[in-house]
This record gives sequence, structure tokens and C-alpha cells, in this order.
Amino acid sequence: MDNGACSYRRFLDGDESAFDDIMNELFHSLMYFINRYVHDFHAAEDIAMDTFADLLVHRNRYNFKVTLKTYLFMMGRSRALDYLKRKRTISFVELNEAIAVESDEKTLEEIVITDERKRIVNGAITKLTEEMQIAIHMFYFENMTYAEIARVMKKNEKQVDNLLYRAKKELRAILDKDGELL
Amino acid sequence: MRNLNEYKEEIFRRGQNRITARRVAVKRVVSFCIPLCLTLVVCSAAVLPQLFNRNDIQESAENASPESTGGKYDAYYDCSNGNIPTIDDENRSEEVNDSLDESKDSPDESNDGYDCSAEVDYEASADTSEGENDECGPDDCGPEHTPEYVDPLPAPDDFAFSLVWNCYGVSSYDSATGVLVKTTDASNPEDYVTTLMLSPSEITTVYKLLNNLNANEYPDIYSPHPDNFMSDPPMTLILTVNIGETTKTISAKDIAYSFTTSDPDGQRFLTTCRQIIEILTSSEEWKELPEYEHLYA
Repeated sequence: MDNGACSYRRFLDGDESAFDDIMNELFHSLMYFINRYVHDFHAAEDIAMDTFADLLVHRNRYNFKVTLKTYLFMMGRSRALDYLKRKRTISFVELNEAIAVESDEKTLEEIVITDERKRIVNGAITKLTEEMQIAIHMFYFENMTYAEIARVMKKNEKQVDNLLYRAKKELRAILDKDGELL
Repeated sequence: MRNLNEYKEEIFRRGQNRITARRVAVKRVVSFCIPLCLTLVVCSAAVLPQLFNRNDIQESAENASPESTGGKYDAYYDCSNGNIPTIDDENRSEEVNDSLDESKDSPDESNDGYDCSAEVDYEASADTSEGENDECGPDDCGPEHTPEYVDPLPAPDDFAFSLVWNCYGVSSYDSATGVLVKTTDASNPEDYVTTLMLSPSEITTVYKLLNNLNANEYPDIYSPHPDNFMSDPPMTLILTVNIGETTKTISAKDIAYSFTTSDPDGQRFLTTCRQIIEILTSSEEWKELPEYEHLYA
């Protein structure tokens, strides 16, 4: 499993359908990952689309040294942090829109996290710090390696290891407290 | 939440917009940079040559040698090849008389009747006067040298003079033979005889002095002091000028031992003799001769 690198190579060779495969494979995961940062579904949607648009415009920036998934998550994280920097005011949303957003998030969660147990864990990790949430999400839900997680979060593998260890420890405590088993 | 096709369409639309925006930005940059570059090139082409020319002028001025000070002086003062301007006898006599008239009208005791106040432009002939040719050296005290003025008083080849001076054991010098006698009053007079060949510049100087004197105006037997003023011991001055076959001798025997007189003509004569004596006695050959045995030499 090359996480889209083979499909992207086909896309570079001129196969337009390969881009569809990439989107089917990675778009929702990216959007859900970005939502971990911005906590805004529409913003995450917009950032994800911008990220894929960058991939479309600057086709030669991806050098295949990392997986395409890692590359997209790196770009998505940077754009999400930029969004958070530019975000100055707290946006007030109408109640109707808030309900719609919540339903979209649930739909996205259902798309990304198919496993019921993972959904339970997903509910528990919201009580962790943001870094722990990101690390758990990439490791547990996206099945990324320590090296890939380190690359996305711009940390070394040892730091990722420590982060995941603490995150699991706290999750265990949370889940045990809630009476759930990991 | 939209489906993937909608997301794909939106992604492609955004990608196309970015590509278009980038092309527009590139065009704007090019449209601005090209005129700017052309302006810089034109300004450089206009300014840089002037800067280089200015630097070249400065370098050429720094490298200019004193020899290249101007050609108008070189023809007159290039004595290295013997190119000494000359005039014929008629012109020479006219100019010598003119110079004498000037000196008679305003005799200058400090200059002994000879106008040495005129400045000589030695800078124009500096390179030709150093070392190789003494005729144009700074010792020359004559009329101001201008490009239009030709020096009329170079010593002719057949010029010679002799002078006898002093009292008791007289001293003498004959430029024709070069015999210099310090005194005849000595136990061994031969020890006081040597040979002195004056340099061309010294010959010229003596020639100028004698021309200024105009010896022909003096009697053969002459006393420069009025009323035959005498002293003890007396002094003898016998000046002889030879130019070709022409010889003029001014004999002032047993005159007062003084180079100062109230008579202008006499003063000019005494000054001329004294200056010639100073040239002779300042030579190395004279200094190498032994000291006088007696008080009055």
C-alpha cells in the first residue's frame, strides 16, 4: 500500500482518472485530520480542497520521498495552522447552521472511522490535548507509522513515541473510567 | 456535505484559477521588469563611458612625465644635441649694446652692473639641463627665457680670455692654454701652477660678463678709480679678450687694492674682473694649490 503514490504517478503520466482514485482514498481522511486542528467542518473542507488544488497546480513539488498521504497531511497541517493564525474573531453561527455542521461532522466521522470501536476511542480522545489527539488520530485511525507521524508533526520519532505513550496512558484511564475497554 | 465529484470539480476550478492568477502575475512582473532593465542598460551605456574617460584622463595626468611639458621650449633648450641657438655678429652687437644701455642707465652695485634679477624659466628646460649639459643650468643669470627670445650670448668657439690679478705675486689664467697660476711670489713658483679647463657653462658665463662689459669702450691703459686713487700694496688687473683674431686688453696696473669705486664704468670693470676671479678661485684646481707663503699674495 503506497498511500496514493502509485496513483499520483499515473496522474503525472496523464491519467486523469488517477486523481479520482487519490481523492477517493485520501480526501475525507485529510479533511477529518484538518478538522482536528481547526474544529470547523467548513474550514476543514475548504482547507482540504485548497490542499488538493495545490497538489494539482504544483505537480512536481511532490518528490515521492514520503507517501502521498504523508505529503498531503503535512500540507494540510500547515494550512490549518495558518488558518488558525489568521482566525481572529469567534464566528457566531446560527443555530440552524450549527446543527447542520454537526450532522456533517458526524457523516464525515462515519465515512472515515468505519470501525465502531474506533468511534468509541474517537469520542474519548477529545479529552486529550490537541497534540495527543493528532498523534492518536494519525496512528490509530490513519494507520501511519511513527516516521510519517513525525514528518507531519515536525517532530522526531522519539518525541512521537513519548507522545503516543502518554496519550495511550491517558486514554486508558479515560476509557477505564468510562467503563470501556480499548 | 458534498460528494466527491463536487469536491473534485471545486478542486479543479480552484487549481485553474491559481494557474491563471500565476500567469497574470508573471506577465505583470515581466511588463515591469523589462522596461526597468532597458532603462538601466541605457543609463549605464550613457554614464559608464564618461566615468571611464574621466579615469583615463586622471591616469594620463598622473603618468605624465616632466619631459613632455610642451614642444615649444624643446627647440630652444635641447642642449643635449648641441642645438644652441646662435645669431650673427651684427645682431649680436645690437643686442649686446641694448643690454649695455640698460645697464648704464641703472647701474646696480649689488649685481655689479649685470641684471641678474630676470627669472629664468628653468622648468621648461628642466629635463635638458640636468646633468648632461651645463650650459642651460640654473647658474645662468640672464634675460628671461621666453619661447620667442633667442639667447644671443653663447660663447663662440674662438673665444678666449686671460686675466692677471692680485698684487706682488700676481695670479693669472689663460683660457686658451688652461694655465692657472696662483702666485709667482713663492719659493717654488712651479708648485703654484696648474691646469684648469673651464666648463662650457663657465666659459659662457665669462663670455656674457665680458660682453656686458663691452671691453672695446675701455682704453688699453685704464684706471678704474677716479683721480688715480692708490693703495699700498697696489693691485694689478690685466684683462684680455680674444675673439678670433680680435684681441682687446685692458691693463689696470698698480691700482688701488679695492673692487669698489665711484666711477660706474670702473665699477663695471672691477665687478667683471671680480666675478671672473671668483669663478677661477672656486675651482677644485685652485683649491688644490698650496697656500700663499706671504701675506700679500
